[in-house]
Amino acid sequence: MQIDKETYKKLENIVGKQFISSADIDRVCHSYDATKQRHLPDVVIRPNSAQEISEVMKIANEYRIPVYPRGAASGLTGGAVPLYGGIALDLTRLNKIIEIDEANLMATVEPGVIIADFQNEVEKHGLLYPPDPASNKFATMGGSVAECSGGLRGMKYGVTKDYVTALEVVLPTGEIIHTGSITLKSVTGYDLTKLFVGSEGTLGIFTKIVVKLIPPPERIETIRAYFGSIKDSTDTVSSIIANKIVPRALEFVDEACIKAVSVYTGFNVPNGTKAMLLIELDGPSDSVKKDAERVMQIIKSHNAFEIEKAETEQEKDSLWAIRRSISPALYAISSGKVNEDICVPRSRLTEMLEKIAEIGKKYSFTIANFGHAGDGNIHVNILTEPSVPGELERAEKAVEEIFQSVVQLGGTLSGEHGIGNTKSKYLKYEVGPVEMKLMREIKKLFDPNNILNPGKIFYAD
Amino acid sequence: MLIDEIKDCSKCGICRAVCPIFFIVNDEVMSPRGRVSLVEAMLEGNLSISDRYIDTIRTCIKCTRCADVCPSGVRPEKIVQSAREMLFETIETPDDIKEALRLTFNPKRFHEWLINKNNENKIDNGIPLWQLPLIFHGNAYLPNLSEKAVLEKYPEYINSNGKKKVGLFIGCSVNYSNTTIADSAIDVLEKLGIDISIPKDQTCCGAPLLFYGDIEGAKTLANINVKAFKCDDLDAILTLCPACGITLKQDYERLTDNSNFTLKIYDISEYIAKCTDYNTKKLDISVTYHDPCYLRLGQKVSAEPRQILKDVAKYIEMKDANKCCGYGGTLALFHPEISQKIGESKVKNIINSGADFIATGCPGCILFINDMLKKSGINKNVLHTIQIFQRSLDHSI
Repeated sequence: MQIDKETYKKLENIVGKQFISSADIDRVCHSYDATKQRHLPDVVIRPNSAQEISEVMKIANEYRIPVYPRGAASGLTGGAVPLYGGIALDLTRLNKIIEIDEANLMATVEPGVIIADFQNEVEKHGLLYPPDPASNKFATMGGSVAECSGGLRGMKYGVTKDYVTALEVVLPTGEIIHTGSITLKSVTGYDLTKLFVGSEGTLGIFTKIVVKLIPPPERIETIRAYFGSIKDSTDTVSSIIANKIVPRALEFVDEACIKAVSVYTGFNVPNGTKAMLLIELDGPSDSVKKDAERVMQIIKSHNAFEIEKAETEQEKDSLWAIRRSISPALYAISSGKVNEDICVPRSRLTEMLEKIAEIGKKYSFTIANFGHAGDGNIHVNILTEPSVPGELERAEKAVEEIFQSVVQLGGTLSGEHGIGNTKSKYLKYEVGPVEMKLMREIKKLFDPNNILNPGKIFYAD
Repeated sequence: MLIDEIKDCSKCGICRAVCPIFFIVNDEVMSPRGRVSLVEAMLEGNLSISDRYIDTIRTCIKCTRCADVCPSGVRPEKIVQSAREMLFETIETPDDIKEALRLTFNPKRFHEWLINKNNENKIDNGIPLWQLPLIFHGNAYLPNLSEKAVLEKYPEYINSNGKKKVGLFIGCSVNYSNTTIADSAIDVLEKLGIDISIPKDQTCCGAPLLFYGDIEGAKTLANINVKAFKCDDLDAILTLCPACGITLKQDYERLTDNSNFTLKIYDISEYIAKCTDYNTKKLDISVTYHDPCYLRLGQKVSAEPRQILKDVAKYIEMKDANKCCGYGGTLALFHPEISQKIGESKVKNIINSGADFIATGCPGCILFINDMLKKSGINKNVLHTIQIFQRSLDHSI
């Protein structure tokens, strides 16, 4: 055990007996995240205030104890996994929505608030918080700021970093700092706020998050179309954008996903479907109706063989149903899947998908792709049978090649899941040596003793 | 293999969004993903049995909300059930629980024991208060225990000169305490011209033993019940309690050899809505409905009771009708503080519905929600769906 009795006692004095534990039962339950990696922390601490976290960090820094902050532990790259033991810092007790400020279109929340709970509360005030990761019903605001989550509405509304305007942060050395401003404009010094967003819990622990809100659109139109070739579908995407139409969602689903869904749910998908697009437009009623008409025409001109437009809420739900069933369907047809969330410039999407198909063939894997075509962000799922010897190594090689192609096409390794420890060895494909050194120096400046979430982002080679 | 099933869990955490217990406790240990991970660690030899492990495994109410949303098809309630069976095998059951569980084998003594316990713990503060120490730790408003059990009160066979013939499974709670539910059910079936078989040899469904992990004990009771109901002669066997219902429908396949039996089981509201024709006059009352977990989630029965209620009264859907009331069987026993907190939102939604009456399909929910309403000073009653339905046949409200 890395933490001696005396230190444990000091930590206990900060948060109270009830909120610290070194019992196996708590250690087991704070050892994992959605990557299925397991590393036991030595103690679990569940603080309730910035002050408590600050005092915990001072002790951790003094005794060089690793600290691993976590929210719902639903991350997909190992961000919350306590790689080197130490303290698992569960932030879910900090779960208050502090303020929704209708006059300034701003809200302040604590990190443990569930994203969907916040969205619902915002809606009650007649407003919208656009970032909408698929995990919004269980993931926390803190986690989504740490990973800079994107989601379905990214194309039109951007991602988490476009909404965070100010933060209260506890530094690894224990100081409580305030970054940014609750005003919409602010150019006082470096933009520390943006530096923290997407820092994957390596630079500081957020204790208050200020985000901006927008009025919701008047009307939403939902359209689904099936295509006989991938190219027709990606050409449709390019054509919609070339026509200066920006949908709130522009989702792409490939043949492998569609097949999995139709086996899993019994959905009737037209024969010969190679790709599906799901398009959602929003805005003032008149203009969104016009846009929907134009989008329908564009789809038709690209040989779609079936187009549906939802007229009711129920029909909207049913159009989304295929998209929502992909994850469970893929689990159902294969025992393992290696899931990456690459992102390429929209104009290179067709090339990227062709490249993935080629790599799949080379390593004889079925690779199922779906995702946010509107922002070039594709979820690549290599379907594996982990019990087959050598299969995972082969999958790793395929991932490596995919990442190399992504970088060649001017893309990025991760659109919204982060690097964590699962992708850290690939980071150098995209980030040059000077940039990497700069990032390491920044980490050192914030966390001189490397105690906050060590082992993440940077590969220890 | 259990461990293979556990390995399917991708640890995504989606189950945290739907678990009624996690919602209150906000501690990963008490989430479905947490429980599954604990059983995993136990099977791999990385965790030893502790009081908190036992408590965690016992606290799940097996509502199956987590299984319904799991993208990987994991069934945490089944993993928890297996863990309970392993616990029952490996550790000594506490004496008071052992006594209560054993009594399910002897209905007569069980009844006497309940009445005695009840009298011992009677608290008088001006309102008739009865306390079953095993069900609630704190003061609770409970219905009177009946001096005469349902199975003593009615003949084994009631001939209504009908074409249909059903068996009626009474269940302990209705047999000893909520006896008026059985009165209503029998009256309704007679009026609908359905013959009723009420075998005196029927006994506890076995759910308490099963939930505690005593699989052999549950098998003994299951076989007594299968023998008591001659299911080949019956069109259906009706249950009044969803915990009995889900056990008879789903677990008897494993507990007995008679798979025909499980096919005949219907919840009474399900049977009336699907298999009978009725003519009722609309009552001049408004009624709202609470979904018992074991009925809506376990048995997928939720439209049927609503249909009945819409036919007989002005129906108002309350907010979050499908959310747990907090009773959860053993949850109220081991963690009354969690039960209470879950129940508070149910009470709020009931009040906001503005309905005159609250209907539900579970004696446990009735007991618990009535208690919560009384404690909140609200003068409204929760009735079984069949009791409201009976009144529409009688026009007695």
